[in-house]
Amino acid sequence: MMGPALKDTPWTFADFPVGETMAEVAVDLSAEKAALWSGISGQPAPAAGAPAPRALMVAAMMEAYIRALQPRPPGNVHAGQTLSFHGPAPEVGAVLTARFACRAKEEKKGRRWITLGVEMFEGERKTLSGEILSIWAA
Amino acid sequence: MTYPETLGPLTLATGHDTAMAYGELTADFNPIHCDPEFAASSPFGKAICHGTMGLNLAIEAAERSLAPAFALRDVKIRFSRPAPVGETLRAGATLTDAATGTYALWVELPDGTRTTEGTLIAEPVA
Repeated sequence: MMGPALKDTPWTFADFPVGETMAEVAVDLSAEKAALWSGISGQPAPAAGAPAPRALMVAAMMEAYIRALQPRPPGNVHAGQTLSFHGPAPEVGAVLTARFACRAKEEKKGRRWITLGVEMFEGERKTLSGEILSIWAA
Repeated sequence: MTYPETLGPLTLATGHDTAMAYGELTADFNPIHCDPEFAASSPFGKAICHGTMGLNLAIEAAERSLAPAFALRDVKIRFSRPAPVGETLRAGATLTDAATGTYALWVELPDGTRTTEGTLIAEPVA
């Protein structure tokens, strides 16, 4: 696995390499996380081995995103999101691999827009893909 | 089979405890969400909810309303306005095209202000 993209100083807009895969991290859909999401959403938690809620996959994607690029400047804004779900949901307890690539970056009206592509795999099978649109702080 | 007209809604009364719990879930303890003192000096003036917390509430609502005949396929949204921590979020989706299973996805505050807006496409379960 490629691993996270770690630097000594915070990632800046200039650092993002458009067109390149930047990081890969493993993230789990544990029963503890399912229970945590259940406590937040107020909805019943699935048992270990049951299909994971799609919301848990999205939360895992965000965990992977946070861990994949470190450190980051304070004040980044998550501005938009696309998601595509592929095939049946992985089970609670599954471990997914999240891969991040820089798809685009653009300075517009003084704001630094970054589009990161994300793909999540269970083994070789793609389970989720999408794009995270951020306004980068520095 | 016909697509449900409305998915959800689900509601979530947010607070510092839910912000911290969602931070634990996602490893995202950005002080704009989790530190009211820091957030007070930010451009928002107060702590704001994690955007994907509201989005995930809409996704949870959609998945529960669609099952077992239909499933989520695609989501495309923008986080259009901040949702202050302490507000109650209401999230769901409304059918806009029955032929394609396309919905308008939304997360809103009690006064009707929409904080997340976009589209959701469902598909029949094979």
